Amino acid sequence: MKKYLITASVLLVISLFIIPGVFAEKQYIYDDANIFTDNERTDLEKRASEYSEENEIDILILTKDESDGRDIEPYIDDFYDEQGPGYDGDHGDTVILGLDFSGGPGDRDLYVAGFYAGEKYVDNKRAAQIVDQLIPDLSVNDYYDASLLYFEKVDKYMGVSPIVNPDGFLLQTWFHLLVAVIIGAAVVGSMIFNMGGRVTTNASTYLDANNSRVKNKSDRYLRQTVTKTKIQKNSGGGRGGGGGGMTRGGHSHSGARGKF
Amino acid sequence: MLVHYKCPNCGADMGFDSASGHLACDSCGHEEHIDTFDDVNITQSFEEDEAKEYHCENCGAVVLTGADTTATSCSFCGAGVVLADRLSGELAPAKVIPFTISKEEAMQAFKKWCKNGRLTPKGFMTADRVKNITGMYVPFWMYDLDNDVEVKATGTKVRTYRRGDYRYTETKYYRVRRDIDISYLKVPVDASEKMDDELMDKLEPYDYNKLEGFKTPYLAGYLAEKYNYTDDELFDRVKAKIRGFLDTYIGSTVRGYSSVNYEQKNIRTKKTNSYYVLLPVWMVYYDFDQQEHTFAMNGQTGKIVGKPPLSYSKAALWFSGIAGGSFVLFKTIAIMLGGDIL
Repeated sequence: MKKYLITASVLLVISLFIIPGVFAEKQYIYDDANIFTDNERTDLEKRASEYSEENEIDILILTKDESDGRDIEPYIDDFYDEQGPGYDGDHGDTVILGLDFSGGPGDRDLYVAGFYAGEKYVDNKRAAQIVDQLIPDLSVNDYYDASLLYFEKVDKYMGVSPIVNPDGFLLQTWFHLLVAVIIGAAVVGSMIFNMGGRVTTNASTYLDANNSRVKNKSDRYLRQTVTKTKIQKNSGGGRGGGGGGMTRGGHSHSGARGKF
Repeated sequence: MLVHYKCPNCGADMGFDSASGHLACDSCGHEEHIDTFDDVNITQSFEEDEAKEYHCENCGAVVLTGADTTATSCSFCGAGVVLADRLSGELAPAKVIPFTISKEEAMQAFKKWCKNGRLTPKGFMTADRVKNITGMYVPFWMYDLDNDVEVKATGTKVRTYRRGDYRYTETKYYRVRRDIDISYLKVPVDASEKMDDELMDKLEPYDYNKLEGFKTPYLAGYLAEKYNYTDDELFDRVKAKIRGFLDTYIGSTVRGYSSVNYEQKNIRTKKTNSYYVLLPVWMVYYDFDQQEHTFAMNGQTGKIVGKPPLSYSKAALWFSGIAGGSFVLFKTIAIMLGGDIL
């Protein structure tokens, strides 16, 4: 019994050092629509706090239902203006996932917004990627798993330079392997090809430039053809337009929305 | 008719010296300028039945020659002899580029080249099994060519722009005509049946500033052959050879289009001149792995051509090195941009 107490207190002390976030008073999950169980909410708070500390950005989840008549985007905007979240201080670096349960299934809105560092690393395109990836879980009412996925994605995207697509082929190992093999084959191939000596004459080696000239030239316009194609708007899956915007308080943000 | 050069100083055999460009005597070191070499010291013999047999002026032994040989060495005494009757009349070369690389230099250069072979087997790189290295004047035809070219083509200029929700692609068509004179000077084509055309083509270019009027002493001490094909017979080959050059030139006169579709290229090639020339080539015969490999070296510039054996293990090593290196490089960049390790 005594032993058990000592172990427990040691664990408590260690946890104090390891996860100070647990004891901070910050709130990350604002579940106004009551979609999470108490256990889930506690767990998500803990994870949100860990991910936020690790990435030095506040990663929030807001939910609302029909009792609030605002659209999800202004809802997030107003929340940001009023609460002023941010890892680096009031109205600072933040990523927010907003879930609106006003409509019926298939007509409910979600919105991912990034503020400041969040706007940089979770830009419109990346926000749209997150939205796309959350929809499958959300559509089957798996809000807890969707939240975990949201944390993981933000965690991943925050670490990737904004100049590359974090889910694109440029960062994929198979792509690196493929390009490396192509380069190796091309270099060794040209080495083998040139083993027997290269042709080092070219078109000007034997040219008598003094007696070579264009005697006559004509470039006559004949006709023209014009084709037009409609520029495709992004409208894949349940994701609608979106894009970023500006809160009434004057905070610019990125964002993308979708339906589930 | 056999020509043999005797040293006016000591009476020994003289040969062409690639370093000085003169006739030189191996025994006493005496040198004679080719242009002023006194005819008294050139011994010539006339044979009754010349096509069959030649006798060495120096020792009297029978000189063994092939049907196309125009210069060789007496297999008995080693004296350089020139078969002058095979170099006269129709068969008289107009020009010659003398050797500037000696046998020793050629050997050194070849060894160095073997050592630098990045894909050749290790045993090959030591170059210790060179069977034979032969200095040879290879017969070439050089052509001066005038080409009258008429080109008809359709060119397009493509512009894309955006207006409203539409992307417009505007293609303008042009009728392109060109009338061009293109001249080439001294395009060489090898005229020997024995020589591999591809190998000889790769030996180019030669420095034409060293093109000399032909004189038999240049051949003393080397092998030489006469041509097997006349300039007319090889005209198609030289036309094929300049075809790529012509296309490049034509392309350079049609600029500023997004695409060009040639409907007609009328090329009339006229030979304005052709010269029979002898060009210097070191032939290297190398036994490796029970196979004979033939290499050729430009006797003037030192350029070496010929297919050396390929070491698959070395090729695999290079491949894995380059592919592995680039993989690590890409991965490093990806990780720096925030990608995962795997």
